[in-house]
Amino acid sequence: MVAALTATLYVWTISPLMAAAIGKLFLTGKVQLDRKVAVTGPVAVNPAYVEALPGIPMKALSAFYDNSKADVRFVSGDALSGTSVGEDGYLGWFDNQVTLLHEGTEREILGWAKPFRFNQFSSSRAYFSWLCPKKQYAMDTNFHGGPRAFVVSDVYGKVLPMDIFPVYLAKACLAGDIDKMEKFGIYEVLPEDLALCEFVDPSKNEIQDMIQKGINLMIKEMA
Amino acid sequence: MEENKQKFGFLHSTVDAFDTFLRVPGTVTRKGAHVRDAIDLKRVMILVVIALVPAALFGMWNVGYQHNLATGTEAGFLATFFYGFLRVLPLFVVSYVVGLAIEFAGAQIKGEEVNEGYLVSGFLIPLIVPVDTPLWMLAIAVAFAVVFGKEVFGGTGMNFLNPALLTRAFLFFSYPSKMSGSETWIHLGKDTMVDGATGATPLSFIGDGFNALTDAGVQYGTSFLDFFLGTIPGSVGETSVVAILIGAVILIWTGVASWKIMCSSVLGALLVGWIANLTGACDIPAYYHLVLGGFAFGTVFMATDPVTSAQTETGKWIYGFLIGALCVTVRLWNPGYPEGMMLAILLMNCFAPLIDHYVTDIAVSRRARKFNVA
Repeated sequence: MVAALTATLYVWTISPLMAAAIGKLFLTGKVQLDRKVAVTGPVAVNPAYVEALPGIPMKALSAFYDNSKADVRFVSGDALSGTSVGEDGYLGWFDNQVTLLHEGTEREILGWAKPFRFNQFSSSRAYFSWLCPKKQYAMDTNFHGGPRAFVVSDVYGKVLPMDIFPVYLAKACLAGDIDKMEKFGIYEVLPEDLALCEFVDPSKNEIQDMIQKGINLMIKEMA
Repeated sequence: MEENKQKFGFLHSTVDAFDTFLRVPGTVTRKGAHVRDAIDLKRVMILVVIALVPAALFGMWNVGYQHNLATGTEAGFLATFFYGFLRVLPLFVVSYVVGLAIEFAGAQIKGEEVNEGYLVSGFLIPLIVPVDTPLWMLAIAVAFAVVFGKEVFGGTGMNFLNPALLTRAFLFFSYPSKMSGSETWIHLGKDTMVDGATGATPLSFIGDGFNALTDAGVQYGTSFLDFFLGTIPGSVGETSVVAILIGAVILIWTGVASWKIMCSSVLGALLVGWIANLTGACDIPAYYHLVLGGFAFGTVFMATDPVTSAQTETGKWIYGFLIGALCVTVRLWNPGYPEGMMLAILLMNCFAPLIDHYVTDIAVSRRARKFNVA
């Protein structure tokens, strides 16, 4: 039987990185936080692992990006839930990945009306990228559309392996309705759990931000 | 879009609308996921419009064909199609001009981007009205539906009634003599009907039984094949089940519309039709209801509207089933309305939030029970 997640239950989590650091502390008596950091992303020249400490500046990774190319987004973390830190930023305490993305400010003519659109990835069958599952795409940070209200209802549940209703939860967070947030499972989610829902959303909503605001509201309520 | 706000002030929504129509906006992600799927609502909407094109093209040809049958004129395929095209085009123009004008005005008042929802509704409206609808009536109905069916609730994604069906309902209840009966369905123009021809649709005969339907003595064919192909009078786009099925395949294959709603609607209609056969209330076989009237069009294009239908997967089964069942119930047992699809969908649109409420309630309490520490 799994214990129900309620408002009064304390849950502690630890990542493998930190578990390794604790182990090294007990074995050697020294605090050793160095870790293997993956430098990834379509902009990265020769993506590779590097040995690094948390807090290394992005400039230390200058071998991986071409300085002459403008508009690189430096993300500490992964592409779905990392933080954009900028060229003068630093690797985050909990992160072991750096993603280098191209800022997609180019404007495609009639992109949405093109029948095939070979260079863009879509998880839906509205485009044809599902026919070539092994193809690799250079993802950029373009929104591919403008913000809209929630319209389609079936895409979110397909990418969320949790037994909750993601749209109802997000709408409850938007409304600040404490009872509904509790009912739909605000205690069980982190914003990054709904990152894939945010990725596939045709309405281009910022779902992770909605959930974060809901969590902040709950924390305030419980204080 | 910020630079447009400063440059154009009040009109920036209009400029943005055309700008984002022609070119994908260059906005980049700010919070949350840094990369996004290439799909957007414009793509979803254009796929629905593409799925509607077969029904629209057939409807245009059918307008000309029914005219030829009723007036006894002979014409080739292209002449028939062109005749119908000229009669249906004003409906499209009025629908899009009036609807988009109100959408643009509403977006500018709110200071938001113009939503693409009307691209689909504007295409649907001409296909569900009789071809002889006076244009001023259509304009008033479109204005009513867009303002009171969508804009007052907050625009696309916030409405609870299908705007295209609201247009039809407004026309039906405000101008009933023009929307039903025998004179509205076939466009005669300056010609007169030959003797023995009638403008009545097959649905007006089902009250009298199966033999009345198939031996009606009308100028158009009344076999099952005629109903399936759509060579019968009716609203512009609703007659041809073949064309609608092509649209259904497009919608299901691209994942834009829910096959659950379509299947359960068909099941609901078949069940009630079968019960009517068993109890002797009507001797028309249940599967005839799928090809008569607006059932097929409503099931594929109207009931599956993602905003106004039930949003939970279980709710979609219930919602679709009740739409099919209610449509056939109204057709067979309500003497006032020969066609029940519009009323069934509008009623179930009102009930969809209730269905979702109970489905989520039951799912949440089932989950709470599963995880309870004894």
